[in-house]
Amino acid sequence: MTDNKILRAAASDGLFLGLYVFLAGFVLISVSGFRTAGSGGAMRILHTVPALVASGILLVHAFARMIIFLTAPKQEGRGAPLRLAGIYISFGCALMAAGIIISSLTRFEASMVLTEGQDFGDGGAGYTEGSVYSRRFSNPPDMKITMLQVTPALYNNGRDVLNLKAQFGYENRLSGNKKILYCNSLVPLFADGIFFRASNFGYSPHYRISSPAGEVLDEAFIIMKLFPPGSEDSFRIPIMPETFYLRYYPEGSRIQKDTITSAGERQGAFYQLRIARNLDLIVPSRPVAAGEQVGMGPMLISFDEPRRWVKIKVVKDAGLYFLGPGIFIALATALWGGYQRINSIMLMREWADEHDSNR
Amino acid sequence: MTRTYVMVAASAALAAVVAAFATTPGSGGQFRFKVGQFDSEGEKREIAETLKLFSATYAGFYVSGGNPEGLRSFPAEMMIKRRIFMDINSYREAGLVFALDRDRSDIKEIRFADATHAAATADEFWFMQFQNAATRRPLSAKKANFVTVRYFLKKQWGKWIVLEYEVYGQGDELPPLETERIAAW
Repeated sequence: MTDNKILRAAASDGLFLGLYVFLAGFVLISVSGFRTAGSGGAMRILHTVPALVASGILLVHAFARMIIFLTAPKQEGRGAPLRLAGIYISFGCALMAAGIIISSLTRFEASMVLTEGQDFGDGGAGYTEGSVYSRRFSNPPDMKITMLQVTPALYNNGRDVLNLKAQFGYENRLSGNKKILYCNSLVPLFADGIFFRASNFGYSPHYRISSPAGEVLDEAFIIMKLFPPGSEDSFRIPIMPETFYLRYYPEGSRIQKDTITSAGERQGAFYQLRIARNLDLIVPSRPVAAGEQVGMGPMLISFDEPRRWVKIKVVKDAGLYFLGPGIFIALATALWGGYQRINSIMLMREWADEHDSNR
Repeated sequence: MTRTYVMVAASAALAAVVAAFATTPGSGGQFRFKVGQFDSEGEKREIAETLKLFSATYAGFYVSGGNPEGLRSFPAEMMIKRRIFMDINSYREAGLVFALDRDRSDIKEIRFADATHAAATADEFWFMQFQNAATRRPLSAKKANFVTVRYFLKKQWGKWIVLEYEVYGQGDELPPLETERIAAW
């Protein structure tokens, strides 16, 4: 057994517990938003200086413990499993600490919002503004995605999402690898070194602005948060001062007379449209069917049947290959070691009872 | 064993202190907001004054046909200013002035998401009229416009400014106002 005092201090139980309590406490308090309006998530908090310093010390500590256990005299009987557990836990902790440090150097995280039929990359849509989180040595995925189908599974109330599935065509532009992938909102999909997860969906109406003579002046799909039914969102068209407020009812709706319009019950999908020009309400709230034209001054606006859009979160992080296994090894071994220790204590008590009764 | 407990307790305290201070600027204000030490009445008065200045200056821009005097003190985000002047310019090109006058404004609710984000809902009554830009001769009847406006505000450099607003007509159902939506601006 080593007599190195520095090594033994570095491997002490107090330091071990202290580091974990510090890391867990720091992450929990930061994630809670008690001091800030938003934290960005646990992984980003683990990339901050205090967490990285603690992870570095934890890495040194884990190696010190492994050395202590490996250089300890081999034990037979009840001591052997506990020594083995100590080695594995230390190894798991070393992997976790290394994973946090590697993640802080290599993590790439971003979100994209794609409508059915829309492409990402290769001149198509890009990542959502403000969503890209890229560390110094990150390697953003070079890919092209074509969103094929968005399928939400809803609860009976039609307002809450049970599971959100997205089917998309994926192409790795470096290797040329092409495939159809399916991701959902419950479990992240891991493909080609990248994690994909669907997190939100809504509707993209297609607006068309035309002159009274029928000439189309402007048209486009607009990504809007129109789910659950009755949710309102708004959009503006560049160089126009109007604001268009929309709600979408895909199944039709019974409209209360005194809340929205006096139209009564309405069959089939429809929009509820309102148009303001700065603080002037130029078109009061009214139901509009797909394709129906509404006058706004010298122009007309109409909306076609909407398509669904989905928000996909993309993560590429080399640290996760260490962090995940490290957590698993440390937890599994801790549980196993705990069981061994309890077993050992119970056997010692039995031995002590037998010894007392034989006196 | 005692040393272990001391180490654990010291680590927990250190985590709390580091998490409390190793955060973004303005976190002291967020902390005070979360523990209830926030002068909400004082901030509501400031927001009410801000909206009063906003409405008065907004009307002044339209009535003057786009005179930029007051633009520096106009408590609004740049995109709002741009939209207003885009609108005024389109009227001017048509030889029109869109004269506005706010008759009444009742603030119904002010809600805070945190120390620097708030949403205010106000019922407003405006009079509007098109006039000839050169002669100021009325070209339309005076129109009364009753709207409910939901303003989204943010406190920047010690002052509240309007980041965005939503306009609703009489009888329109206002969507529920969630904290995340207010703080999103």
